[in-house]
Amino acid sequence: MICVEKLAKSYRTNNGVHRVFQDLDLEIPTGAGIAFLGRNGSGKTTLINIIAGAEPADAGRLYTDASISWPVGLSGGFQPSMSAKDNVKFVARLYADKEEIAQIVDSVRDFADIGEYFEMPIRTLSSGMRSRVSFGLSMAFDFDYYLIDEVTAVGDPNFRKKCETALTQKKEKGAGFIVVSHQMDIVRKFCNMALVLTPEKAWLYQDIEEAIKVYQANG
Amino acid sequence: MKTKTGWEIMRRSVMALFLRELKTRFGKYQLGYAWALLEPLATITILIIVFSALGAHSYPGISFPVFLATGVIINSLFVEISNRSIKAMEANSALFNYRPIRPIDTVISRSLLELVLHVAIYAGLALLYVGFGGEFGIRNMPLLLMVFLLMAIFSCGIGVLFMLVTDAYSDADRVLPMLTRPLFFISGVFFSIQVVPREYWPLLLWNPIFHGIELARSAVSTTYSADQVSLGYLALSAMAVFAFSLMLYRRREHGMSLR
Repeated sequence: MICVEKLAKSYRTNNGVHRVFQDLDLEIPTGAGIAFLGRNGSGKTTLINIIAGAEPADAGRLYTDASISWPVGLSGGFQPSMSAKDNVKFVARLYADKEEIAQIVDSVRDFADIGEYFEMPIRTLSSGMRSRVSFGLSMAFDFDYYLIDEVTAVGDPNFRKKCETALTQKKEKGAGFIVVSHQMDIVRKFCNMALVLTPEKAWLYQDIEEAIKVYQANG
Repeated sequence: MKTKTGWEIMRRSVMALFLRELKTRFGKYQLGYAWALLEPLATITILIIVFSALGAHSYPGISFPVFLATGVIINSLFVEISNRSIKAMEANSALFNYRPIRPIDTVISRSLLELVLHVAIYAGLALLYVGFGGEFGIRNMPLLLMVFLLMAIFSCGIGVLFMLVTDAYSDADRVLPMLTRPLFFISGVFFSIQVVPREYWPLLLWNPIFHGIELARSAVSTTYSADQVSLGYLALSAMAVFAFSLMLYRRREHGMSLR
């Protein structure tokens, strides 16, 4: 379970303070899928980043006993001069025991399926190859929650299919999902609840169809 | 996924960053790790030439190159750790997407890396010097290692403080290196306390780096006197600075801008 209590976040802009959200309470049960819906700039990614621990909130608390992934498909954390393999090893060292590292490297190599480019510096890889590696890396661990921020838009159709299958398998194993996407088929597939973010307030819906209807009417 | 204790998470994060930094720093060069040795070697050679030309003072019981190299390496340990910490947040900002990595891990892993590198560089230079017929012998290994360790802890504490200051005031990344640069001249890198008139001693002896350098010299010589400096002072200032920096970090961590 992830508990968010009285969360507040604002940014200083040239025209004064922009409040992204205020007094946000949220409970994401174990194994649940929640979508953050809202127009661009409504704070979806900010909220995902706060949950990921990559951005501090101004006030409020977030607590959890669960393991939470980094945003799935994130490749910004890769060191360009290191090989894909070494980058994978780095993340494996962070999240896994020593004995599991070799197995994680192998599973990412299989998933990415980019041949000898796996041993080449990241900067020599095309963006498609990079996302193959980063997606494979996210799938190599069993997290309690996966953070998904518009990730499924990358790669060729075959690879997208592969990604969706991998995510579906995680769901079947009981993983929870926190999703930001403008593709409603993805939202429907992985989420059973939604938070609709509007400039005034965030509304929580336990019925995903109702949430989509509200979001599309306001978007 | 199993949950881990905070200590275990931090240990892993520091180790992973350590190995990553090691690889990125030297991995891309063909001469690889040799560069780690060649750079300070060049600095020291130039300094030896300059100071020999200036008619540098030599001290009993320690040859001038050893005297100088010891000063340069100990000082560089401090400069590298503290100055690299200023950029530690910026250089690693993309990594904070991985939850286990906290800002302080980047400074600790860098301190560890610099400690290992500087010990290795010092040993490498010593071997090279002996290979060319120079005279070098470690008289007090525990003291020498202790000085390296305490200097790393002291520098790590300063590094954490620098990171926090830079986080709060972004201009600090220009000011702080300016403040530490003069330390090269007052830390005894190229002179000993013995040649300084007694009335100026208090102006120099507040500086823990001075103590570190003189202590290290006494550890590689039978007769070089370290009577004016003390290991206790170095240890105390290292611990005090490190503890203070951790205290401040604890209060500030939650609000640090991670990107």
